[in-house]
Amino acid sequence: MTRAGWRDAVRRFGYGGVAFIFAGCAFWALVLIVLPALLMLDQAFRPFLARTEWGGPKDVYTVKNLVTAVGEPLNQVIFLKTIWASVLVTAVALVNAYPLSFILARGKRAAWVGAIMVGLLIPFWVNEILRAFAWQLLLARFGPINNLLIAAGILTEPYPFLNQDVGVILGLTYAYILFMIFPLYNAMESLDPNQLDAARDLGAPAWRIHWDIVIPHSKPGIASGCIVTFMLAAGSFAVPQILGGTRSLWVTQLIYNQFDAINWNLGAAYGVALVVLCLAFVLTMMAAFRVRLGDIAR
Amino acid sequence: MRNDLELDGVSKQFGDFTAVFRVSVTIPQGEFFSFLGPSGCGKTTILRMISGFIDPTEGEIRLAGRSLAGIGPNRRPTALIFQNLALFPLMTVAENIGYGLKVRGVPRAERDRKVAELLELTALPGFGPKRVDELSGGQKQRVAIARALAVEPAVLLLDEPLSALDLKLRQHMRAELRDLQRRTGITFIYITHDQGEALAMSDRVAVMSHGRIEQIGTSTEIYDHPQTAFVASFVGENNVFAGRIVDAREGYGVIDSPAGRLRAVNPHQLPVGADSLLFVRPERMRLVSDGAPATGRNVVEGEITDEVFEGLAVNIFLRHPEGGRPIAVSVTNDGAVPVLAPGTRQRIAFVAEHAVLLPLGPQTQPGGDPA
Repeated sequence: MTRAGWRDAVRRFGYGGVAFIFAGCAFWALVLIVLPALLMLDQAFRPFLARTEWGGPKDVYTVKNLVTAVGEPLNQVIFLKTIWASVLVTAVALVNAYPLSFILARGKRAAWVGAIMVGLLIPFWVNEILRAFAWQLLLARFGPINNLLIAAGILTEPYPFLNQDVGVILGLTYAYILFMIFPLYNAMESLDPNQLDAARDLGAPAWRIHWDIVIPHSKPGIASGCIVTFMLAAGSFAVPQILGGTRSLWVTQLIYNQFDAINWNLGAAYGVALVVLCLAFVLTMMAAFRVRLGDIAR
Repeated sequence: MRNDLELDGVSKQFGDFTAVFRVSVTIPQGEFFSFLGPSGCGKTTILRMISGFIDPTEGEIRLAGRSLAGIGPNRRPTALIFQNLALFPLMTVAENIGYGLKVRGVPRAERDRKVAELLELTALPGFGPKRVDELSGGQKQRVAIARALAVEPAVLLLDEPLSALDLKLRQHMRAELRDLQRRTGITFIYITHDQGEALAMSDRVAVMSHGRIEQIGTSTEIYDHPQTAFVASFVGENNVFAGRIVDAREGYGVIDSPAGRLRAVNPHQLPVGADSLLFVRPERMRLVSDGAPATGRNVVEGEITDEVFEGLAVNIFLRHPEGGRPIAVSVTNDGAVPVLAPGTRQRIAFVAEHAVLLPLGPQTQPGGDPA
């Protein structure tokens, strides 16, 4: 921050205010983010030992946990499945959120836009676990969705949505689609409607207007929506637990199982592996789509 | 077939609001035509109907004799220059100009050649790789024009594109636009509330009010021979005297006004007894020095309220016998303009040929703020 920036901040908030902002941010960043991450990193590289052996001769740094976490073929499948399914969730959310956000952004300030926004928000006043259970009821073997599909003649017998990836992907898309809609809406809302008219006037058909004007303009919003949705999906626990059961294991469930079995070290190793994998994936995607970190922060 | 543009009884209704009412005009190919009017007069609606963004509720728009109904803006041979220009900020200057060609599938080499040509035409050589936000106001203007010309439109529509520029640049761009129009031979349809712009650039001007065309004519016709009270009061400055006609013959009429009996041209042949407004421009008024005879002229006497020096001219204001806005007299600064103290009485005169009698229309005052 520049000298003038500091002076301005002090003038507006006073020295106490500035100190409070800094203390708050420091507490948030150091105590709530950096410290637990470091502790987890530390745990991940130590062997699983009995309480009495802590600090003893066996308590040395090792990569054994990490090798187990990413080396075992079954774990590898679960890791890849988690990433792949989260990509699918992100894609389904994007495909649904894009037109909706565009229509909402074009409808500027109209009363119906507000109504739809409230409609989108209200379900999120309900606990995530309850919403997952609601999906369980909807997707059940003899639930309304199967009944409807059978009545419509699309299916002849109930489709087993639950206890496999389909149910989890549906549930996760629903759970996190708002995190896609809002950044998209924000980005699209700032687009000058004359830009769309200008492109149209110059001869562009609708798809070209989206490809050349709307998508490039909304790219930061699309990127941040995708990253948040992907990270939330990959790190989700309740939805895979409730809708996926044991036949659609998520990495988070592996982590939970280890912590549940008091093997914090292996659990931490799974966690570290998941974070590193997801970050690497996101950074690769950002590089592939030429998205800079600065764009997203806007 | 020449690319003449015809508007045939075109109306546009938005709910209960009539934005445009039965507008008919033929704009021949190669004309610089302006729609002039205050905001809300329907001129932008006309522009958007010609470009295809909205459909008329009634009537037909034809180009080269063929109806444009049902043809979307992306398939019309018109190009629109937006008020805020609407350049694409994420594209370079060259990409902006070439966009219309790109979506038409014009091969890259030909596109590049055309873009270079247009950069040359609009005096922007070498600006191709620049970003739009690196340009000055006038340069952005030229990019917008080049982008619209790239698609070789039959009609170029301009929606007050100069309004964001400062005065000097605006005057410069006027000349540039006029010149560009002459060189390309494309029909320009210009929308503005700025009469100076309309009069300076256009071959013909349509003055609009409340969705209707009040008068169509050359700049001189509009300024010197207004057909309606709205045109007389909206275009340029005008002094108004109200009164009933007491004599009407040989194309002239006399009104009995609070300022006395005044004689003027009577183009509508208003009969004796009709309520009428007499308009006379400040620059057509003369100061009458004391004792000088004023025969054959209309003479009004009043008390000086103000004298404003404007360099080229000196504006002298007299209290209007009807109250309201004072009578303005604009005297060319020939170095001998008398300094008149407020409160002194002064006679002013104008000849009947320079004044016009117009019917007291339903809209005698220009609606809305012309600014």
